[in-house]
Amino acid sequence: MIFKFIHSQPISIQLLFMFLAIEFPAEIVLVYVSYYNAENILSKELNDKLQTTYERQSRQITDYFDNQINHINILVQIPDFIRLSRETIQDRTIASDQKPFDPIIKQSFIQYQESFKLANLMIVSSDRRIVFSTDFGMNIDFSQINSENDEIRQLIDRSSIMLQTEFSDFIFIKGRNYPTAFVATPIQEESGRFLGILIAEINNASITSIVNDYTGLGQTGESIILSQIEGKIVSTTSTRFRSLSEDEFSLDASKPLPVDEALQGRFGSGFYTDYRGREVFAYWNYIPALRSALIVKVDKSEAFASIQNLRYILLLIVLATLGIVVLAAFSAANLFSDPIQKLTLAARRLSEGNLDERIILPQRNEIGLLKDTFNQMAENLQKSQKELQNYNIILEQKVKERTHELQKAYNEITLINQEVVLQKNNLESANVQLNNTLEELQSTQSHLVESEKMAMLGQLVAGIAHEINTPMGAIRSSVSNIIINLDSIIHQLPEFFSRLNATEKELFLQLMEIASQKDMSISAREERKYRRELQNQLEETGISNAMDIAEKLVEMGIYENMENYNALYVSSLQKEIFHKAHTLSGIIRSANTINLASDKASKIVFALKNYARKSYSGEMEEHSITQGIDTVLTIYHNMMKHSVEIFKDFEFVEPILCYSDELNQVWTNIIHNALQAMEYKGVIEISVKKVEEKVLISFKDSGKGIPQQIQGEIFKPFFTTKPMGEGSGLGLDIVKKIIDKHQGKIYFKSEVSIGTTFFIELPIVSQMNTTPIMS
Amino acid sequence: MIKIKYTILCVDDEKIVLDSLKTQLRTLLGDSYHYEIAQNGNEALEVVEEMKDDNLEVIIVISDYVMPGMYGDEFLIKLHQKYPQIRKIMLTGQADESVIKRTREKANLLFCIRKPWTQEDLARVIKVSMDIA
Repeated sequence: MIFKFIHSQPISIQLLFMFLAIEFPAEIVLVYVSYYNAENILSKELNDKLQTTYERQSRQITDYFDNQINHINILVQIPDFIRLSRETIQDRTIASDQKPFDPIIKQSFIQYQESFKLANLMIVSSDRRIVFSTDFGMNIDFSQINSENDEIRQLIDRSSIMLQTEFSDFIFIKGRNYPTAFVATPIQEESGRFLGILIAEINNASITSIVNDYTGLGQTGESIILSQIEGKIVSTTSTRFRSLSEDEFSLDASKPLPVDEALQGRFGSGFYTDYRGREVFAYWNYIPALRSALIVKVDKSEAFASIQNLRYILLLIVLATLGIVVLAAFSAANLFSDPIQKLTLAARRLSEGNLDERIILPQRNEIGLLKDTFNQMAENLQKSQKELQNYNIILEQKVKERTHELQKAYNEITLINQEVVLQKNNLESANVQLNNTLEELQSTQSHLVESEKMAMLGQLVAGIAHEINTPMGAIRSSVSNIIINLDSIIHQLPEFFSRLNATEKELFLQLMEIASQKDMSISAREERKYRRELQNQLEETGISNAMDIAEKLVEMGIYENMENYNALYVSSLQKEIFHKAHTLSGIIRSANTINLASDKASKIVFALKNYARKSYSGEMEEHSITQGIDTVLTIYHNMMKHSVEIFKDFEFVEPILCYSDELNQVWTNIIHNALQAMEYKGVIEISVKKVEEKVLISFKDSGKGIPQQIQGEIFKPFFTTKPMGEGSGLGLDIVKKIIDKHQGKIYFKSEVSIGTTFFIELPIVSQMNTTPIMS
Repeated sequence: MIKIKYTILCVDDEKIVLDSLKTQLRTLLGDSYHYEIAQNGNEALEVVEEMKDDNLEVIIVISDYVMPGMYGDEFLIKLHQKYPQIRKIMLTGQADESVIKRTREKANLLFCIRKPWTQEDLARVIKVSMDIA
């Protein structure tokens, strides 16, 4: 598909595709690798930077916590603080006591709180009641630790049971719009007696100030501390882009987000989409002191700004190289297509007939060769054009001559035409005369019959001539053979005989005896067979000249009892004996040939004589029907022997009284028509039968048949289906009249493309009974 | 060494013609040639083929025109397709000019002798045919 498309494009586009195919993948790989490398390096650097920030802030937070613990541990060992705590607890043993605090005591606690940098300081009695808090502005009921402050209660429990410092998780407390955490430590007298618990609130502002230090985090970087409170993940500090005064925000914990990872104590770095919906690169880890996650992150857009630039630069490079490739492709294409265009233009001009067209190109390469070939072609074309023009001139000359001749011929034809018109007029008047003489003609029917017969005979003359020429040729050649052979042998014979011994003489005469009785009807094929057999036989017995002797013996008609002549085969005169015997018997054979030939010739002459026989008396004579048919067949033999088969079924019928020459004309007409209908190929069956007192003669041909619509017409005078000049149309009319004259009947049956059978019935009339019997 | 004997083949449906022609040829040319006869075209084609087995090589064929089965021109054309080197002569009383012209073109017919022929005609035609390389 794509290749089909490319193949149909101009060369420039094809080259472009080719160049692109080479250049583009390499460039893509290069760009990808460099971009990937840059991103990798940048990610690593960024990761290091964010990790450093995490480590710094994590250390600061841990330091802060250690500090707080140190402070309250020192605080609970100060005797004055212990005394104050004891007094406050003792003073507030009754839960319902709501009397105001002694302002001096209160002031002392606040002093401790401030000097030890605690966010809030609370004293809890051993019976788990908060008896004092420096922050009474808090809207929490500290007087009673209820289920709402579950976390604080647990913290108090843990600290009082273990008698050690304990932390709480971040929790939400009424009156605070941010999550907060607490540290609890037991207050004991010097004697070791347990007085209560000191609870200090972790200063959220201190942690916030630590994580809000954006040093090295650019314009979009920030750190977030995230804790899990009541199943939600919550930011415990305000961030760069979101203060805690805004509605608390939770993060969707269902996804495996960095915060989940970090809360499970694992660290990592990578890209994710933060609460603002922006893509960020982050480092995350756990802070054990806070039991929270710390995520240090920076917007991808800022962190990877340099990469963004690299992307633009790379795109620019790709575009630039593409431009160069396109330019290169087109200039390369020009390099090819320029000469091709020149060639095309030149070829077109050439095809428009401008044969002076030549191309000049500086190229010495394949294109140069093409140019040379083109120029050569143009040269040849110009040459042949010139030759063509010369031919044209000659041709025009000839056309002129011919036109002149035609004109002349036309003039002659015009003259002839005028004559024809004249003749036509004459013919028309002649036609009138002919019409007048038609009646006369019909009355002179006997004359017509004669002329029809002669016309038939005329058609046969060529064939008959051949029939005679064949025996004539044989006779002539045989006669000359006899003369020459006799002349050559007659003088040698006495001397030849004197040289033969008695046996040889005897056998020689035997040979001559058998040769003189040779069966002349033996076929050439049979002769060949005999000759081969004889030759083999002679060769087997080791006789020299086997072939020559075999040939001569067979020609002489000697096929058997070959061993009788053994003495001759081995005779020293062998060659001469057989030569002489053959030549001498040849005279007899020639004479026999002459006999056969003259028989043949006389048969034809006899047939002709029969055919033309005319009863001068004008009366019927006794004649054999079958002999008459044979006569006609003999005359027609030459026309039929090639591809017509004749089947004769003749019964013996005694001669009948008839006009034999006229009946011959009937047979001739019917056979002639049959031959024409079957185009001288096929089968004719002739039967002669005696039926009661009639002879029934039938001629069945395998011709094309007579169409139904003209079957009623064929006995009418001048009716013919043959081309002009081939038939007079009188044939069957005369046949009918002849049969009528014999008081016989003629009829036929015919089927198209199967053949026609003519039936003739003739009454048998003998000399004894000259009155014809009507059938 | 086997010696090849040259053969002249005569083809005619009339045995009398063949017999007299054969005798005439032998009288003219003697025993140095072999003379063979066939009574129609198909038989003649067979004979030419068979001759090879007898160490005989047909060099001249003299054929009639009107024969049963296959006309002389058709026979000579067929023969020519297979054996262009054999010299072909027609001996006929019937073939017209167009047949002879056609056979000359398609079968390289050398001569046409008219029946009845004379000894001199035959001698001359055979001699010239043999001289043609």
